[in-house]
Amino acid sequence: MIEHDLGDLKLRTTETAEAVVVTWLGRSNAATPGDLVSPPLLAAADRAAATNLPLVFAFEQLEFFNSATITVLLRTIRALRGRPVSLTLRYDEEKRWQRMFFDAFTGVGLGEGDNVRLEAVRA
Amino acid sequence: MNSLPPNAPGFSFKTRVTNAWANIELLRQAVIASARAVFDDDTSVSIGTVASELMENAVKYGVWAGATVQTMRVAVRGREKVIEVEVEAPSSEEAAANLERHLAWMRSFASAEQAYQARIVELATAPADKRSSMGLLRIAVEGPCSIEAELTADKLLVVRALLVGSA
Repeated sequence: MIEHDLGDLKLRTTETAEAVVVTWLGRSNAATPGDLVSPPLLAAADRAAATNLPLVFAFEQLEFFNSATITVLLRTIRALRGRPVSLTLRYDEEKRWQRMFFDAFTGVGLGEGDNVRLEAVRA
Repeated sequence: MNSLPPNAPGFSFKTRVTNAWANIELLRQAVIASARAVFDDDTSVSIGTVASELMENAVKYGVWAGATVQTMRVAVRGREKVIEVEVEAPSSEEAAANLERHLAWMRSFASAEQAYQARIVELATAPADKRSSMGLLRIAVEGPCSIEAELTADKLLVVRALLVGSA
């Protein structure tokens, strides 16, 4: 397990036989979150590609992210396009703010025929 | 601009703080904690998110250099199920015009959801541009809320979001 302590946010990367999982904990409220979160996210993607494991970004325990974090997440997805990485975005459908954001993803069909899928859970 | 009556009973939160980034999270949490005494949890979180995104924009795009006022004013007023979140910060005619252009772009879509989805696709597929403009789109959808802006004669930009919640 690797844990990145990024102020109010923690990113915990774990690897199992099934997946490389980046668990988002706390609050992502930095002014420029890309500087903080992009390196661990891309390192996890590199590990997933090297091990041929799916990559999971697990948001269900996250309390809050700002719009700058949304932008970083979308740009990370763009960076992974064309790479041999299958990405799952896992969220808590009982948290309205998470549901509202990931519902918008569903609406645009980013996961269709692509390497991104959504997984709604009840934490 | 639409406005609640000044003597409207109900929830009221008002403060003036410096543009230190750390103040945004402190106030987001304070707004949510206060709102929970009046509104349900989802509505309280939405109010906090709206206030937070408006403050982030004020800090990022406010014209702070040379401004006579070096603080931003944050006000949240709620009456029954109508909540008004207002953030005021130093600005300029150019910055206000940029904001108005962005609001006009949002209104050019049939719904805020459509504008939000269009921007999500753009950011997830196209090369990066300088400004993501996700904050206002996000609160327009998550609030959901309508957003208005007004530049005062003192060059203070007042951005106001009006949302409907559940008591």
